[in-house]
Amino acid sequence: MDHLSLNGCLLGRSVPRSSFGPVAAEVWALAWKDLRHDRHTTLVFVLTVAAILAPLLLLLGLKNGVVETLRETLLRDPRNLEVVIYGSARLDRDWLAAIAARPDVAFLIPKTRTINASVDLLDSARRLLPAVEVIPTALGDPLLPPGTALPSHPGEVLVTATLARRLGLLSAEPALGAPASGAEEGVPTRSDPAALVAVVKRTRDGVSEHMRLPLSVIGIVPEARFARDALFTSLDLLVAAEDYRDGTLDLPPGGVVSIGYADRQTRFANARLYATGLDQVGPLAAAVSAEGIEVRTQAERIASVQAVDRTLSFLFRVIAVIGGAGCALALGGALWVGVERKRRQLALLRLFGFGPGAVAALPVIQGSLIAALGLLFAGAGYLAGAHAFDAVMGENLAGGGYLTRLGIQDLGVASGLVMLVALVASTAGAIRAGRVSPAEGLREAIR
Amino acid sequence: MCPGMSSVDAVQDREIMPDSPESMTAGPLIEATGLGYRYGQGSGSFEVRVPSLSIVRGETLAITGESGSGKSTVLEMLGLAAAPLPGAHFLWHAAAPVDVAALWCTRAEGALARMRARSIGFVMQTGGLLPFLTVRENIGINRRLLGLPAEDARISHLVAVLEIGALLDRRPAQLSVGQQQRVAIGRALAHGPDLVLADEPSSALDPRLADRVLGLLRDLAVESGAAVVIATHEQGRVRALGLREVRARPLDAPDRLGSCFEDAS
Repeated sequence: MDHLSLNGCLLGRSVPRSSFGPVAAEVWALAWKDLRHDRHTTLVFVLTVAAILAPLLLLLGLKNGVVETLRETLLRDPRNLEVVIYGSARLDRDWLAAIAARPDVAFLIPKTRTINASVDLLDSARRLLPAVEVIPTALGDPLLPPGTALPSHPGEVLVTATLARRLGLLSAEPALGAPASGAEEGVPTRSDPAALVAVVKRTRDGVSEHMRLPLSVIGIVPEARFARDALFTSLDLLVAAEDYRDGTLDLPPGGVVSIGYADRQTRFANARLYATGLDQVGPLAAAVSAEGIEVRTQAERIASVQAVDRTLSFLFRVIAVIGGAGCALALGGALWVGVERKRRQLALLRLFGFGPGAVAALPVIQGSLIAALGLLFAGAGYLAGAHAFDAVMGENLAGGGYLTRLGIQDLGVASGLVMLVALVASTAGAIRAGRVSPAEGLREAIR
Repeated sequence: MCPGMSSVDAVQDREIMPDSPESMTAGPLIEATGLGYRYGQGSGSFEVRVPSLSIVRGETLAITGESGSGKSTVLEMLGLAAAPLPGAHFLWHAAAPVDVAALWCTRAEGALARMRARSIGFVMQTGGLLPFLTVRENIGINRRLLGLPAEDARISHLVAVLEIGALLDRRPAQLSVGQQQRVAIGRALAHGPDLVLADEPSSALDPRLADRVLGLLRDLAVESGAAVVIATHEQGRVRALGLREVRARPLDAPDRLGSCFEDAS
């Protein structure tokens, strides 16, 4: 035991200064206990901060909500993301691979010449539907609802709802008011796969010829996605039809187009190209047209949304800067006054052996705590306000969604900025507190 | 510029229970010559001079003088809270002597603060307690700063002798002035300092209470081996206690205002 106590004593003597730990812990505790002791004053400061922050959060939520609603309205129609390649181009596989590798490209599939992108259809009643548009599709096609079963070979197709009605695969007109039937979600009501036949015609050496390709319908594309008559199928079928018309393919009667037929094609006249988001459409279109390929986009619709976004963001930033400055001044002034009012106490702390830095840290810690509490209160105020907005006005929204939106990221950035404002605001008080002399603890003895 | 400065890191860590006053009273604690402080500039200035002062470990002495004579200023200098004018010689005997004048010369605020935290306890006339802390937290503030345990035999002893056990969870505003002063004495001694500086500790109290508080302060300090310096204008009370007295007298120089503090004998 003697040994131990001796060691303890020696150890005690060999640790020369009070380590940082207990001082920092004590300073935090003092800052908090002082705020708690002056709880009424503290509450006023907290509510002041909250009163400034809550409307700012609501405003940010509204701005986000309005812009997001506009964007979602545009995004509901995937064609707003499309960069339409105009006319006939010469797109080789290297170019297609380079474009597909761009991060702003969501979907890319080559197409044949527009003149070859249609076939005549014979339905089960042997009626002819001339020149039905054929659209190549593949996994990730933005025009198709997610999870749509895709054609697994060139004999399988998806038909649009309008075409399905003409083919008798869907009831003629959807009953008014009735929800879109289950069939519209992709499964034909009456499936007679072998009955649909594509007819491709050509004239060779003055002789009219045609090729018949039996097709099975594996799904229906909802009208909301594509409102015209069309077939969605693999690229193989389109390339085969084009080759037949060009006279480079002869298929024996009853023959089928092989899977991967299009792979031998090295150059395409056109492609279906979609950007990942509204903001990516412009740059992608610019990049493609820079290579001499003429393109069309829904640029004006996108630009109008972006203009609304920019305008509202600018307005919000101006209001936020003014509000933030007011918040900083209010909080900074309160902390400054607090330092003046508690000068004697700060001097006592200096006298008791707290360093200037430790005393200067007090208003900084208190400012941060007040700002954090204010942020919590403002968050509660935001939730109440947002709930009221959504309850009153949310129904009028096209999406039936929420008018106000704040993501975790927005909240994180807002919290970071608020804490930054608190730090800046407490600087003056901190400098003043750090300059309090320990001698004032004795000098102002009578008070 | 600052010769002979020894590291503050060598300041001796006090043992928590120095119940052997004999060993603690041996040797000097403070040796100072030529301490001076000046308020203001030019002809309107006021000077406080301490030509020579030495304090032995464990001794109790009083600094007396009219109010306004600069007693508090002497305490500030002894308490490492105010910088003496250049030219002072000021040694603090810890494990090794620390040249305080040199520390002020280099503006070593952190080192001086650590010396105050470790080696000095303060008792103010009034308001020496932090209003937002309980009595217990006020008493423990220096111990927490030094990383000492909150409770030990020293604290129990102080609480018992000062009769503040029932007040520990109250805040200073809920205490009478006499209770506040007893708590302040507990706070000043809680971390086992080498020196307790008391500025008019009994002036705000009625005479009977004043005697008791002064007596407690002296007895507890003597018991723990701490030297005590009491600044007071109550010369009678000091003499009644039989304390060594350092008295203020007007400065000799006819063209300057000020006080000179010297042993009265």
